[in-house]
Amino acid sequence: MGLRTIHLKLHKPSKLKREIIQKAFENYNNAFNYLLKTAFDNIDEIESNYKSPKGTYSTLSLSKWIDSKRSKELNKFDVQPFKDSLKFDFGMTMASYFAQKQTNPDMVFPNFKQDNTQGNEKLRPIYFCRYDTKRSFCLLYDPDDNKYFAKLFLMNVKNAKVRNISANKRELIYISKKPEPAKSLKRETFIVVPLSFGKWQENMLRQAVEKPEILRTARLLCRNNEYFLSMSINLPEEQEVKTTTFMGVSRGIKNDINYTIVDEKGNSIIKGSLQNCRESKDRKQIICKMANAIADIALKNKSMVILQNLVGKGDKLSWSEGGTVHKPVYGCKMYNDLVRVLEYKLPQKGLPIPAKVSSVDIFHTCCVCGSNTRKNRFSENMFICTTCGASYSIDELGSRNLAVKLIKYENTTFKLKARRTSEGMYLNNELIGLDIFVHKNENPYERLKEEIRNLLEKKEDNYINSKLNFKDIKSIIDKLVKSNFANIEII
Amino acid sequence: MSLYIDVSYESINKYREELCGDKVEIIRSPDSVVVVLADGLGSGVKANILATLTSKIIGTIMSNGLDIEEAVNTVAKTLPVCKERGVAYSTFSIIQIFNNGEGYLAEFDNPSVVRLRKGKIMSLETESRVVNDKLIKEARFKVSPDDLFVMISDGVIHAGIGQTLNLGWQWENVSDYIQRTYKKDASSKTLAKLLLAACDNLYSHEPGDDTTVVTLKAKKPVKLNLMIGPPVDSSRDEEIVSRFIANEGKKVICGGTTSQIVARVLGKEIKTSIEYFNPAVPPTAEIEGINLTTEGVLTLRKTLDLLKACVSPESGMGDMLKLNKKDGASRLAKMLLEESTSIYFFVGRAMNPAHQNPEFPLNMGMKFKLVEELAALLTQTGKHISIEYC
Repeated sequence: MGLRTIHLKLHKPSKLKREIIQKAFENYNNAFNYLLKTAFDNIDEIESNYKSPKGTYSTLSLSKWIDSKRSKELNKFDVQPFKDSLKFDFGMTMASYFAQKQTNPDMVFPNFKQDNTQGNEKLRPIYFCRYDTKRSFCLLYDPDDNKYFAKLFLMNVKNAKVRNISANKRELIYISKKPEPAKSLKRETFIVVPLSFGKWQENMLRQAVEKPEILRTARLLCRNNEYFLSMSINLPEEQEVKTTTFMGVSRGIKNDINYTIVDEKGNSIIKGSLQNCRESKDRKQIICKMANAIADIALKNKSMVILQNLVGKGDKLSWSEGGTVHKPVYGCKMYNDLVRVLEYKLPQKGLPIPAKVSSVDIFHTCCVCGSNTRKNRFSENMFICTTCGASYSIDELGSRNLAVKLIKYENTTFKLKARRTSEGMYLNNELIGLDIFVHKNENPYERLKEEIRNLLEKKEDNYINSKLNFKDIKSIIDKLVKSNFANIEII
Repeated sequence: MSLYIDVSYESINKYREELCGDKVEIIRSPDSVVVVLADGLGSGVKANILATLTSKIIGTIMSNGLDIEEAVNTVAKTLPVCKERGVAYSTFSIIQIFNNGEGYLAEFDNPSVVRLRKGKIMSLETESRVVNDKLIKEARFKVSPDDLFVMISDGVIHAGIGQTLNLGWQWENVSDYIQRTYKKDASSKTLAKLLLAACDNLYSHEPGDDTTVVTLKAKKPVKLNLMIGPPVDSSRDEEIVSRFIANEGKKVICGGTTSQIVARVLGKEIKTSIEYFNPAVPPTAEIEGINLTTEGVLTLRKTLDLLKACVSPESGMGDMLKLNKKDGASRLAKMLLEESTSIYFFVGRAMNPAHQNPEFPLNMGMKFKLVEELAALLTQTGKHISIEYC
C-alpha cells in the first residue's frame, strides 16, 4: 500500500506551451471519445469476447480491443504520443464499467459525445501510462537551484516544434536510473515546464531523485485554467507496526469523533474525543486533519483501528426530543469520507487497513453485560443499562463497542442445532454444512469432532453450494478447533 | 387474597465513609410486613446512629400495631440532638403491607415511593398531616399481585449531580428507569441491585451521598418442591414420589439415582441433555412433568455458591445476572431465589453407593449440610422453608 498521489502544478507555462497543452487535451479527448463511441457500437462483442473464464474483466485484456487497425485510426487525432496511454485508459474505463454492470445491470455506459471536443468543455485528464525519459513523461531536476521540471510528450513528429538550442541555459538532469543531463533537440515533441509544489511534495520528489523507480504513472489535469500533474508514486512501505491494542473510532452526538482504545482483553485503556468541524469550512481539510489525528493516536498506541460501516445500515445515533431532532456532527457521508481517507493513511503509517464493522446497535448495547435494547438510551447523550445499571455517555459507548468488536467476534459461539429422537440426535449447522445423526450409543462430542475433521479435509469444490465461501467456512472451523470445541452453543 | 411480599434492600455508603447514614428495617409478622427506610442527618457515624434509632423505633412501634403519631413522637423525643445544627433529624419512609392486600405508607421528607402496577407507574394519593411539628404524608391503598414499591433515599435522586448529570437524577428519571427495567419475573433483590448499580455508575463509583434502594414486590405465593436423594427405605419410594408429585407447585429433582427413582415410579423416560453450558456444572436431564432435573451434590454446591454471592451485601448486578445462565446450578438458583416464595425439601437419607468409596470427597453429612445451608440462606431472603427427611 505504498502508492500515493501527489499534485504538482505546472508553473506559469508560456502562451505557446499553453496552446500545445490545450491542443493535446483536445486531441486526447477526441480520440478517447471516438474509442468509446466505437466500443458502444460493439459492446456485445466486447462483453462476450473479453470476459475471463472466471467471469471478470481486466484492463489489459480490454485494452487489446484496440488492435493495430484501430490504433492506426487514432492517428487522425494526432495522438501518436498517447496511444499506449489511451489503450490503458480505455481498458480501465471499460473494466470498471463491466464490473459495475455485474452488480447493477442497469449501469449506464460511460458518457461520450457525437462530435469533437470544443475548447471550453470539461476535459478528461491526459493519462501518461509510463515514466520514461524518451516518451510519455518524466521529471527533470536542477540540482543547483533545487528546481523540478516536467517533460511531457504532447506532440507527434509532424507537430514537433523547432527549438532554439542556445535558449536553454539551465542544466537539467533526468530523474532516472541513469541521471544524465537533458539535451535539447532541433525538433522537440515534448515541452519542459517548471513545477511548483509544497514541502510535502518536495519530500517525495527528493526520494524520487534517490530512487527513480518509485515514479509511476501520471495524469495531466486542467483546473480553473491551470494545469496540474497528478503523479502516482510508489513509496517504500513503512515498517509494519505490530498492533497490540484495538481502537474504536465512532462518530458522536456531542463530539465530532470519539475513540476508545482497549487492550487485547477488551479493557479500556484510553478514551477521548476529537473535534475540528468548527475550525474550517473546507470539508476535505477537516476530514484530512481528523484522519491525521486518528492515525497519530493509533500509531502511538499501536492500535488496530475499527471503524463504523455506515454503508447500508445506519447506527441510529440521531435523537428526537421535544420535537427537535439532534443529529450527529459527522453525517454518514462525511464519516464514510473519513473512512476512505483512513483506509490509506493508516497503512502509510505501517498500521493495518482499518476494519469496518457493522455499527447497528453500538449506541444501544451495554458494553458490560451485552444488553441490547433501545430502552437503554435515556437522553441525547446518556446511556443507562436497564439490565446491569452501567452508565455511559452515548459517544463513549459507541467507540467502546466498536473497539471490542473484533475481540467479541473471536469469542462468538458456534451454534449447533440439536434435535433429539428416540434413536439418537440430529446435529446441524447450516453455515458450515454440518448435518449428522448421532446414535444414542455414540458420544455426540466425539462424533462431532470427527465430522469437523472430515469437513476440513474436504476440497474447496465441495463447498460450491454452501451458504458461505470456503474461506469463511474454514475460518469458522479453525475458530472452533482453536477453542478445543469449547465455544459450542446448542440451540 | 393472600400475598407474599418479596422485600429487599441495597445501600452504598458515601465515598470514603465507613458507615451508611441510611438504615432499613424489615419486620415480618404473620399478617404483615413493615419496612422502614430512615436517612440520618449528615453522613458517617452520626447519620448512622440517627437512622438506626429512627428505623428501629418506628419499625418496632408500627409492627406492634401502634399509630404513626406514636412512632413520630417517640422518635422526636429519643433522637440525640445534633451539636452543629441543634436538631434531631432523620427523614423516613414507612410501608406496611398486610397479607390481605391492605397497604399503608407514611413519608417524612424522603423522596416519594415509586409504585408500579403491571410495570406502569401508578401514583399514590397521599394526604398530609402534622405530627409533632413534622409534616407527614400518608396513604392507604390496595396492593395487587405484581405491584412493585420502590423506596429511595435522596442519594438516589442526587446520583451523578455535577458529574455525569448536571442536575442529578431527578425523581422522574428514576421512576422512568424503574419502569424501563421492570420485568415481571425479576426479584426484588435484582431490581434493588439494578437501581443501586445505576446510581453507583452515575456517581462514577464515588457516591456523593449515602444511597439506598428498598424494593417490595407483591406476589402470589409460588411453591417449589425439591427432592434430593433416594429415600432410606426403598419400599417407600412410590409413596414419597407420589407425595412429591401431588404437592402443589414446581418440581425439581437433584441427583441421578433420585431422578431414576422418580422416572421409574412415574413410568417416564429420562432424557439426558448434551448441553454443557458450564463445564464446572454437570448437565441436566429432562423428565416429563418435572420442571428441572439436575445432578445432585455438585450442582447443589454450585447453587449454594451462586446464592451466597447474590445474597451477599458486597454482591453486584453481575452476580444476579449469572442466574440467567442455562446450566443446572444457575437455573436451580434462579428458581429458588426469584421464582418461588416457599420451598419444600424432600431430603432422602439413603446412602449413595458412589459416596461409600473412601476416595470420593463427598458424604452424606455433606449433602445434609448443603441442604441446611441452602435453607438458612433462603430463609434469610424471606422464603418459607420446610424440610422433610425421608
